[in-house]
Amino acid sequence: MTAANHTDLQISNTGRLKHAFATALAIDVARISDDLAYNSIAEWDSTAHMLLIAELENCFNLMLDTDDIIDMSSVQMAKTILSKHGVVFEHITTDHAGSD
Amino acid sequence: MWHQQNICEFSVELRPLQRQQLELLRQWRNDPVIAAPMLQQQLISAEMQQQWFTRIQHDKHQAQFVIYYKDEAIGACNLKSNDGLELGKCETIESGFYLAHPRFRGTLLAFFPALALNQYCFGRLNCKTLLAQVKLSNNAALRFNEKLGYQRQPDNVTVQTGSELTGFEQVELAVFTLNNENHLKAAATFAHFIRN
Repeated sequence: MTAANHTDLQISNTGRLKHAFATALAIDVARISDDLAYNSIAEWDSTAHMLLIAELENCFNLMLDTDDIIDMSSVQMAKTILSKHGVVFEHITTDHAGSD
Repeated sequence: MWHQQNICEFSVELRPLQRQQLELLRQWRNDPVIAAPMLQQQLISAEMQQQWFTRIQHDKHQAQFVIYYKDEAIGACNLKSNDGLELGKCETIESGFYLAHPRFRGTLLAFFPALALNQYCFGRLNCKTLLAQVKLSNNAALRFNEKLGYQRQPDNVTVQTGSELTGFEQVELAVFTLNNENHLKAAATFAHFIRN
């Protein structure tokens, strides 16, 4: 895999994560940041949380266990949990991408 | 307690309350965060707790459980007959419930013991209607009950709480009822997320 492809994959996973959140919570992608937390906005309630879990499982083709579902209390925690299942997320900056 | 059966459903276990768990229960119940939505706010002494358990342990009009997740006690729940008949014979049961463990409060797991308890009431105790009363100020519990399939009744009720020592207060409660059909619909919604 080339660096460019690797970078594309990383951006893709972050984008897919944001898209999954936006779909499940029915909010604009621009509102999704790492510190967005469960129950911190009206849209992320228990029903949306179930939709989110289903969306993430479908999007990343994995099955989360009960502890994962309980602990997925923010976007940052979602990244941490999905990383445990082998999904790679990186903060990509122009400099970083350029240096690769 | 007079009832001996553990209820294992929806990834949690509801075990009948035993005397050796009373101190744990008392600590939970005296936690201001847990006590806040309750009708009775007074601090419970160890002696009061023991007297309460002695009084209710053989009372077949009620059942008291400790909620376990992965073998760890995380909360408590109870059932009380609402029509004067013993559990198993009565048609209407009032349920009460709280999660004490901070990791689980407000999460999806909170629904699992409630679903297990409701399933037990309709499936094993053959009750027709479950009743829940919630302080109007407790928005989280109002939404929680709706997700479990409860229907809010048009009229609220007002009850008096407190004592001569602490002073009396009028509290308005929303009344919810649940039938088996609506419970099964709610349970089906959550079923996909029952793992392990």
